[in-house]
Amino acid sequence: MSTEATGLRTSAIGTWGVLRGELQRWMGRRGLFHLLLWLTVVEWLLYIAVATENPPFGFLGFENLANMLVIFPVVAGMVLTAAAVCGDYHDGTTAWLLGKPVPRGGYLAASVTGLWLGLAATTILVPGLVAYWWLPRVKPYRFVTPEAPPLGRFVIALGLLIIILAFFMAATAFLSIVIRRRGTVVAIVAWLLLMLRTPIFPYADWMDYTPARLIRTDIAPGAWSHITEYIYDVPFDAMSAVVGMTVTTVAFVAVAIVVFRRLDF
Amino acid sequence: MTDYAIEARGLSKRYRKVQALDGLSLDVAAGSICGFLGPNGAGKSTTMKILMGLIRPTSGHAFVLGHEVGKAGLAARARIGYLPQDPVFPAHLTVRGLVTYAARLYPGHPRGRALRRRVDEMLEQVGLAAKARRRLAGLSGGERQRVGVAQALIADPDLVILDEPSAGLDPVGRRAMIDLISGIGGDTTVFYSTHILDDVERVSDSVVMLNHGKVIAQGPLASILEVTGQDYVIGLRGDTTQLRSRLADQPWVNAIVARDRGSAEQWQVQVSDPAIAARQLVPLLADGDHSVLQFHLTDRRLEDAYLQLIGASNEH
Repeated sequence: MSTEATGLRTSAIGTWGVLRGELQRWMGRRGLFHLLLWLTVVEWLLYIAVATENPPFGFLGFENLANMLVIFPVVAGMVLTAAAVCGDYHDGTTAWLLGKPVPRGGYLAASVTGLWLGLAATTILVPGLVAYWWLPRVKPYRFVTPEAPPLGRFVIALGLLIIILAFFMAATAFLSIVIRRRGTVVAIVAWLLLMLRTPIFPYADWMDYTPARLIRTDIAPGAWSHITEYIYDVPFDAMSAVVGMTVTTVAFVAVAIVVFRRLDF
Repeated sequence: MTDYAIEARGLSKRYRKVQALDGLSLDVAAGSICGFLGPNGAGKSTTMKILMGLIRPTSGHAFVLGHEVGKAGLAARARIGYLPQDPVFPAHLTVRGLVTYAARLYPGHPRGRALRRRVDEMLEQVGLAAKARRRLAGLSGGERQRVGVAQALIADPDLVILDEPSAGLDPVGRRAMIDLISGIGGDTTVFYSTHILDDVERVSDSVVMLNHGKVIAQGPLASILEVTGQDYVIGLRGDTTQLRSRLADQPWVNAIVARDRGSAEQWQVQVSDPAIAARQLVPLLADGDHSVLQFHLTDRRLEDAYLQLIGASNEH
């Protein structure tokens, strides 16, 4: 085997080892904790909003779910990503792992990807599917459409939410590498989240290429987003945002890796 | 295979106003157990981190197991076991979980039952088999260090780099750690830093001494100990003023370290030329208003060589 091939194999084994370690963490207590926490929070809040006799905010159901499945996972994602990247950098865990045959880029990508997949499953996928099961069964029926939206469409909408989560986590990882202070990083990304879709900040054309095109972070009756519309079978015309987010996410991770490779530990 | 597991040439590292390493060059022979010594802040950890590719030198080159650090660091690290100073491991893991996790990062690692067997053997070797299922967060400092050694050795590396493995350990833990290091042996090169010179004397066959970012001495332990020559221990009672000044005037006397022992004194006389000292010291002692209570040669001590070399380096 050539030196180059051996190097690639070593990189792949080290990177997979880190990713496997991250994923195994979600198979244990951490995953169970998050699953129970987010199931409780999401379903309970939805229940208050939808299933009570006089819903406090006049919500209908799936737009609440879409908004909740943006805000909660993104907040959890930014806090956990900043803690993982900044915390591990400062306490020496990163230095220990980089003393193994693990490439720096692979380490960073595997850490953030493991966290992203774990959060996507526990904060978006499972709570979303559970809500999809019980929301249409609530009496009186409160939804726009006479029947529950099709499962396929709903799952694709959850996929879009998972891409949004990736965008914010990549932004957090990038800032964590550059700034390395978790409080500052979380504050910046939280501001970014708020800025993207609230009535305080006017909508600009460039936001078509950001999550702002897809989500709303304001809690108000009728705060429909393109994702909610998509769930309710309105034709989807926010592809620019999906492409923009995907490209930006990859760019954030790539630049973060370039900076990370130059750091001293 | 190269004769040296570690070769460094002209390594420098500058952190803004601090010159951590200043043209450091060192060689560590393959298969040796090499103690890396120096005062706090001398640059030991910085050197080790450069060798591991964790920090980049401002200038200079280092080769580890024949691979140039920085260019082929990954290939080198696949054959190195490393224990950082004050290691922090993921606290959610168990002892077995951490060692298994570390093993899976290396190419060619065993799988399934073979991996489990290998981890069991390693935990047995470091004396933690009974605590395999214990979470890392619940371990004592000594146990954490032993887990650190286990994760460093799990891939059967050609080179082990240990940054102060005995730091913070009680005497029993320290002894266990030293036994562990001396047991690594075989073809594996061990390069470890420590402040405990007795331990180095016990297990190392070579030494690298560092001060202010420069190597001030390196080589086989025996040749480092030659620096101090031989020491005589002399117990005296009475007026020793004249004797002291007479001895201090001798060109073959390097130093006289006096210790108060109640009504008596104990001197440690460091000599540079043992042959002359053997002929002239006894006649010199015979003259004066004192009694000689004790007189013998001491073992050569690394501590004396260390203090002498560091002292001379600080004067320059």
